[in-house]
Amino acid sequence: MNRVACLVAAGLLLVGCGSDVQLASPAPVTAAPTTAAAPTTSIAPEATCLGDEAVGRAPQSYPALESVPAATELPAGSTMAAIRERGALRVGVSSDTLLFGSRNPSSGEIEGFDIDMLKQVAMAIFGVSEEESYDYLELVVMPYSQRISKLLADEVDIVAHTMTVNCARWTRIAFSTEYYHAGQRLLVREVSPEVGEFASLEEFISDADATVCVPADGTSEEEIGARLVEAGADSKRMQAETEISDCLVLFQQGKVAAIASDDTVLAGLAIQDDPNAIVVGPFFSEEPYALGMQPGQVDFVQFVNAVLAGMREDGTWQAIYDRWLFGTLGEAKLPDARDDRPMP
Amino acid sequence: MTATQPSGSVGQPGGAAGLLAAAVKWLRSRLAGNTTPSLLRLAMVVTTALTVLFGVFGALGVSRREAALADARVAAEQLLAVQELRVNLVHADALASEAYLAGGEASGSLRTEYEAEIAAVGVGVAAVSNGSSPAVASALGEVAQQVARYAGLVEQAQANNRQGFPVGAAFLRQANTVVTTESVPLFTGLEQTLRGQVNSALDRASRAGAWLPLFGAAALAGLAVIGAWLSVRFRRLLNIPLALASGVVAVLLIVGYSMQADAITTAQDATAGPLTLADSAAQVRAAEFAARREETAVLIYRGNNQAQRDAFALAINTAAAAVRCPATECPVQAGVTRYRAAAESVIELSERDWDAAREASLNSSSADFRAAADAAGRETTEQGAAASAAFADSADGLGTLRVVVFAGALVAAALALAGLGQRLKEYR
Repeated sequence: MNRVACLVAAGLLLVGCGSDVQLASPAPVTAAPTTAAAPTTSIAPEATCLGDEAVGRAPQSYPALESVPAATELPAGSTMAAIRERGALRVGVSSDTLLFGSRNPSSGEIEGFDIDMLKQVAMAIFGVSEEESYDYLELVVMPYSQRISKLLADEVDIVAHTMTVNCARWTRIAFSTEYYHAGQRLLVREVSPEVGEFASLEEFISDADATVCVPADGTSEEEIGARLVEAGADSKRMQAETEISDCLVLFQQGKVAAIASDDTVLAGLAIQDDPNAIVVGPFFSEEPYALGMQPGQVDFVQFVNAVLAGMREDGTWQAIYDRWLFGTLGEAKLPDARDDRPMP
Repeated sequence: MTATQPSGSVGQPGGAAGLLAAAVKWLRSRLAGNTTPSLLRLAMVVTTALTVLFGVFGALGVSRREAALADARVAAEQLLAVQELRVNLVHADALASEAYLAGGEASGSLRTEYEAEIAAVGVGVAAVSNGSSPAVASALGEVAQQVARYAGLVEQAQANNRQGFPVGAAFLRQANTVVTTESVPLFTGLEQTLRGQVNSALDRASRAGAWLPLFGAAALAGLAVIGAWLSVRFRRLLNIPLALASGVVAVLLIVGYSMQADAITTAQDATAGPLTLADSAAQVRAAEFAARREETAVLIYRGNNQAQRDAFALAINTAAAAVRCPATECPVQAGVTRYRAAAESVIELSERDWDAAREASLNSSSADFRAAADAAGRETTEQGAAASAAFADSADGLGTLRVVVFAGALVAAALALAGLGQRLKEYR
C-alpha cells in the first residue's frame, strides 16, 4: 500500500521514496542491580589506643587463656563451642597473595602462611589433625577492603589476610596477638645479582623519572604520597591499583619502575617475576600482622591467643614460617606476644 | 534614495516557470500556423522522445535498483561476517577464561578451541577487509592489532597459571579489558555502520524504482494523446502501429513495475526476516559468550568479583533481549533460559561452596552453555544463508529487464514512427 502511494507521489511530484523496511539496531540493555549494600554496623570504639604504634609495635591484645582447652571441653556457650557446633570455622582469606593465601592450581586448595595459622585454630576447636583441618575451614575469599566489614557483618569468624593491626582498626574489631612482623619495602628490577635498580625508597624518590605502583587505599599509598610531596616530586609518579597483582603486570610491562607494599606481599610478587625482581631497602613503615575477630568475642580472641602462644612454644610457628617464607624472606624473629590488654 | 528593484523580478516570469511559459507560447504559435504534415512531424518527434526517454531512464532506474540491491546484499553479508568475527573473539575470550579456571590438563582441549577461534579471527579479518570500504578495512586493521596484544596477554596469563602464580588472573583481566573496552566497541560500531549501509542501499533501491513507472506513464500518456488526436483528425478509429507501440510500452510498464516490485519486496522481506533474525541470533550468541566469560570470571576473581557479577547480568540480559523467535518453537530462547538458570545457580553456589561451583561451571553449566551457543549459532548460519540467498534472488532478472525495457522502448518508438509515417505518406 505504502509502495503504491509512493509510486503515485513519485509520478505526481517527481520525488523518490525510501524503503519502508529498515534493519533495526539493538536496543540498549542494563544489568539488573545485584550489588548488596555494604554493612554499616557501628561498633563502640575502644576508649584509648594501647601499645606503641608510633614505633611500629602492635597494640596489645586480650590475655591468652592459660592453656588451650581440649576440643571436647570447650566452655558451653562460648564462641568456640558455637563454631564447633556449626562444624566449620568461617575464615576470611586472600586467594591471590602468594605465600600467604593463594590457590594451588594442582590441588585446588588455598594455601599459605595465613591459611596454616587458621588450620591451627581449626585443629584446636575441632580436635582434628593438620591434614584434616582444611576440611573444617569455610573459606571466604575477600579483597583487602572487605576484611573488616565482613567480620562486622558476621559473615566470618576470623580473618587471616596479611592484616596490619593498629589502633584505628582496634576501634572497630578485635585482634589476636601479633603473629608476623612485616614492613613496607620496594620491589624493583634486579640489575645485577642482589643489586636493584634502586637501593631504597629515598634513592627511588630522588630519580625524577621513576614511577611506583601501590595498592589503592592502603598505607603504602599514604606513605609514598607523603614522601613524594615532602620531596616536591610529581604525585603522578605514584599509580594506585585496586589489585596488587595489577601492579605486578604494570611492573612486568615496564610501565612502573617499582612496587611499594608489605615485604611479605612483595616476596610473593618477586617469586612470580623470577628472576627479574628484588625486594630492597629498609622498612619504611612497620606492619604487625594479627588475626582479626569480631569485637564482642573476647573469649575467642583469648582462645586464639592461647593457640598462637602454643605455636610459639612448640616450634609450630617456626615450622610454618620455614615452610612458606624462609626461602624468600630469610630469618625472621618471632614477634612478641603482647596480651595485656585490659578485659572489657 | 530609492530602492533598486532586482532585475527581472517585476512584470516578467523568471526561472523555470518563465521557460515553460515561453515553450508553451512557442508551441502554440507553431501549432496555430502549421499544417497537418507539420503537426504529424511534431508528433513523431514527441513520441520518439517520450519512448526513448522511457527506454533510457527506465533501464537506468532498473540498473540503479539492481546496483542498490547488490550493495544491500554486500553490506548484509559484511554485517554477518563482522558479527562472526566478534563472536569468534568473544568465544576465544570465554574459552581463555574457562581454560584458566579448569587449569592443568583439563585446559588442553579448551586451549585448542581457543587457538582455533583466534586463528579464525585472523583469517576472517583479512577476508572481510578485502573488498570492504577503507573505513571498515581500517577498523579491522585496528582489531587485528588488538587481537595480537590480547593473545599475548592470554599467553602470559596461562603461563603464570600453569606455575600457580596469581598474577595470571591479572593478565587475564587485562586481556579481557582489551576485548571488552577496545575490540567489542569497534565491532559494534562497524556493525552499526553496516546496518546503516544496508538501510541506505534499500532506500536507494526503493527510490530508483520510481523511474520506470514515471517515464513509462509519461510515454503511455503521450502515445494515448497522439493516438486520440490522430483518430479525431483522420476519422479512423485505430492506428495499429501506434496502438502496438502503446501496447509495448504498457506491457513494459506492467512487467517492469511488477519485476521491480518483486525485487524490492524480496530484499525488504530478506531484511525484515532472515537478516534481522540472523543479526539477532549473532547478537544473542556474542552476548552468551560474554556471559560465559563473566560466569567463569566470577569464580576466578573469587571474593572480589562484583564487577564480573554485574557484567554477567548485563551480558545475559543482553542475550535475552536480543532473542527473536521466528516460530512458536524457539531453541535460541530455550537455550538462553536454560543457560541463564545454570550460570546463576553456579554463581549462587560459589558463595557457599566454591569447589562445587567450579565443578558445576566446568561441567553442567558448560554443557548448557554450549547447547545455547550452538542453537544461536545454527540460527545465525541458517538465517544468514537464507538472507544471502534472498538478496541474490532479489536482483534476479533485473539485468534482463534492463535490456528488455531499453530494446522494447526502441521498438515502441519505431512502431509509433511507422504509425505516424503512414498518415504522413497520405499527404505526399
